Amino acid sequence: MFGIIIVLLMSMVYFSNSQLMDIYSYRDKFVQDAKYIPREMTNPHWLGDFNIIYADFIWFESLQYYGDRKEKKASLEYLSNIFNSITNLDPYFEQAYSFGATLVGTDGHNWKGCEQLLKKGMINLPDDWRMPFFLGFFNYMWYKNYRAAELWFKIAVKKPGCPERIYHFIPFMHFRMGDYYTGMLMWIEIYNNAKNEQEKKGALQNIKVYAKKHLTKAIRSFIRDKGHIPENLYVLVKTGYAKGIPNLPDGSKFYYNVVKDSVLIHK
Amino acid sequence: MTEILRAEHLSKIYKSPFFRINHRGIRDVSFSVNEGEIFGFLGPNGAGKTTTLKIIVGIHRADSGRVFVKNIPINDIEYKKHIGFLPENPYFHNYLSAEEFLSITGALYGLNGKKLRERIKEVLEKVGLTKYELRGKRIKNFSKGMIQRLGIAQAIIHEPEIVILDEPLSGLDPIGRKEVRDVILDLKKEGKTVFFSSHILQDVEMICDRVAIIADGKIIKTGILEEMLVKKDGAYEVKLALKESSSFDVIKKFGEISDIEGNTVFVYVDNEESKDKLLETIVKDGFGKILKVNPLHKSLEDEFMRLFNIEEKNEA
Amino acid sequence: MRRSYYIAKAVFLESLKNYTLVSMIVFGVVVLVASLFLNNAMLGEYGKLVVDLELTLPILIGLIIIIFNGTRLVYDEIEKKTIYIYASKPIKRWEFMLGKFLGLTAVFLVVTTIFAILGFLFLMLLHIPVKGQYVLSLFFSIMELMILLSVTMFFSSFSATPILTGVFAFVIYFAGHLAPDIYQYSLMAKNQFVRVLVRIIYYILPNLSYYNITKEVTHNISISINQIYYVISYALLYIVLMMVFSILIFEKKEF
Repeated sequence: MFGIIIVLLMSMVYFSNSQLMDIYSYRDKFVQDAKYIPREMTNPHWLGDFNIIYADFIWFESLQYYGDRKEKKASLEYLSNIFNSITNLDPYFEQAYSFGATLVGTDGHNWKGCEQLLKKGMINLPDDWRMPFFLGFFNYMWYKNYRAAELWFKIAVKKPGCPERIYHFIPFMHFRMGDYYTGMLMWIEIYNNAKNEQEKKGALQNIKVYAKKHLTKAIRSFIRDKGHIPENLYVLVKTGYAKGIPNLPDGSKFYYNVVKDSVLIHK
Repeated sequence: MTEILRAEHLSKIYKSPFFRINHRGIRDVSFSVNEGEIFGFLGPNGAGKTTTLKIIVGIHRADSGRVFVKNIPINDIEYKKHIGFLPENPYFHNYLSAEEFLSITGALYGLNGKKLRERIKEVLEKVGLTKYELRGKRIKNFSKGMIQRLGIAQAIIHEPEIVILDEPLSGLDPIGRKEVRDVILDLKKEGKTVFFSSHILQDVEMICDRVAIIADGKIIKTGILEEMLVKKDGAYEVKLALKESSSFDVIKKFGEISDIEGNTVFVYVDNEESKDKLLETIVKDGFGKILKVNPLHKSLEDEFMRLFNIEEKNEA
Repeated sequence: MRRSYYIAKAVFLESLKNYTLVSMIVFGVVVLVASLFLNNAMLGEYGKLVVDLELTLPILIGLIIIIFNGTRLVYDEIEKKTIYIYASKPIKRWEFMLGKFLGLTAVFLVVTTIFAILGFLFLMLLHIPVKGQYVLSLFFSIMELMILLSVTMFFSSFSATPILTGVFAFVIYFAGHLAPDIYQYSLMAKNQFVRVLVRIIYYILPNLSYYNITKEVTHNISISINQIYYVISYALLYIVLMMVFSILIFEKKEF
């Protein structure tokens, strides 16, 4: 009898935590908690063996909190506190870092909190590629800091389990920085290491685009300095305006079309 | 007769740990129990009966003195194989059934397997717990008498030579008392020695061969109960229905009027001669009807108290 | 030892028949099933909740059993005088205590095994790979509960009421998990006296934080063999010490 009562009470507490939040206007309380949590409650040792479960509960609560506040268009400034708490309790909770940082950055508009969360994730989960990737991605997206982004992507691709696709971000960062030649060289490398035809095709496409950009930029500089167009593309390399002209793997060549004033490729 | 249990100069004083106040205990208790008899251990509440019993079965350690069963000293683990014990107001694991409980207690004596199962059946039959629908029933649902009998069952499961029972009859209804008493007498028939304590004289008188009387932590007397108690008979209570209230004076010559209810009178007469005369007068002179003549025994409790009083006077 | 086994059997049988075990398992199953519905909210780490619950529930249930049954294990026997039955039987007091301890340990073992099996079934239903390290974590949990039980029995050998013992056990559980912080504090404290005092407290408390490897296990962090050896020997030492102390006190006790 006693046991059954305990079971009932326990399950009531359990459900009241996750399901009945609206009834008890729990969320307002949670906002208070969110301010309060990081200071006292997130030393995982205070909770005995239940830190992980508690982290899971805050995770659910935080999702509800997020949804609710978003709907009301209310401020989400404490979001980073919540995800900090979760990751204090369960330092290996990968989603709390990556997904949490995304929410903190996009909806909380708290770039610093986002960055801190991801860096914390990198310390606690040094073998995970997602933290540096997201850090790179957010640097690229929000700060337009392509140099930093490229560095983070480079770290990400060294981690085990990192998808091949992440490699493509690195030349793209060079493209954005205006360093088309380095980006192109990277695409050549990707082309050489590609495992299937589709990837090869994509890489080739990118090599051509990067090379064209590179050469066009060089021609513009050449004309501006010398006052005439270069005799051929190799002059650009000789005079140091271009770093090199790639030999395209499919055998096609670059040429400069004066009429169209652009670099073209012919087979 | 051979001696089976011997207690020599047992003393035990309970000390309060903080105030150093000495609580009741027992002082220099010695007695012996013979094989095959029912030995009663009689004394008022708080006299030290339970303390003595606890020492004998090894729950408490005596400050001084020794106990032997068949010349085996108490600190030998063999000792406990020869005794069976039923504590006062026993209480068992509420949720187990009688069989489960007995199988655990039996196992502690090294019984197991088929032998244990047979023994449990035998013992339950002996204490009369088979006739109920008891199979698998939890001890929680047992009546007090049934618990008492189960207690005896666990005490005799390993066929001990001596069974020690602490207040086995207290707190039971008349039927329960009879059942437990019958079990004790059956044990005697089997040749077992029974040692039991009680504060109720009638119980002891009814079934015991020998008794030891303990008061205030000391043994007062040991021996056969009838020899110890001097009975005085001869007082009577006579109930009469009188025709006229004027006859009161006549009656008063023979004895005291203890109660009057209308025409009905209770007369206390203190000897047989007066009683005969009173009845004769009433019948002959036609004062009324005789409703009841009730012989008054001097109660056993009174005798019991008398024994203690003698003891106290001697001490003084 | 044989006789301890029978006492243990009595403890186990009783907890089986007074529905402690059954109600705790029903509670656990309810929570596990409920967790299935919440599982989708775990986004990328699908099944994390089931694994977390599976590894944590046995401890929660063990704690409840310790608080409600463990604290009354010896107390009830004395209070209701069942101890008289055992004291008059050819069983030594240490055998009795050991039996009580082993009986409740068996209960923990059964609870944990049932949860392990249930949890693995759930994981298989969700098509989540089952890792061998989960078993290690559960094994650690049982050791943790055994340590806590031995501490509880030690307290119950001299404390006046089971409620007091329960409070002690509860405090020790959380203080035991704070052991690393206590150690840190002993390093940081400026006063030499405080430093020594805190260090002594650290060595007296059971370091239960060793036994919480749930997060390492759920996130594939490897645990070295050395750590396992150390943790097992630490548990054994602590349990033996606590049991010896409580038996010594129990031997002196008069009921």
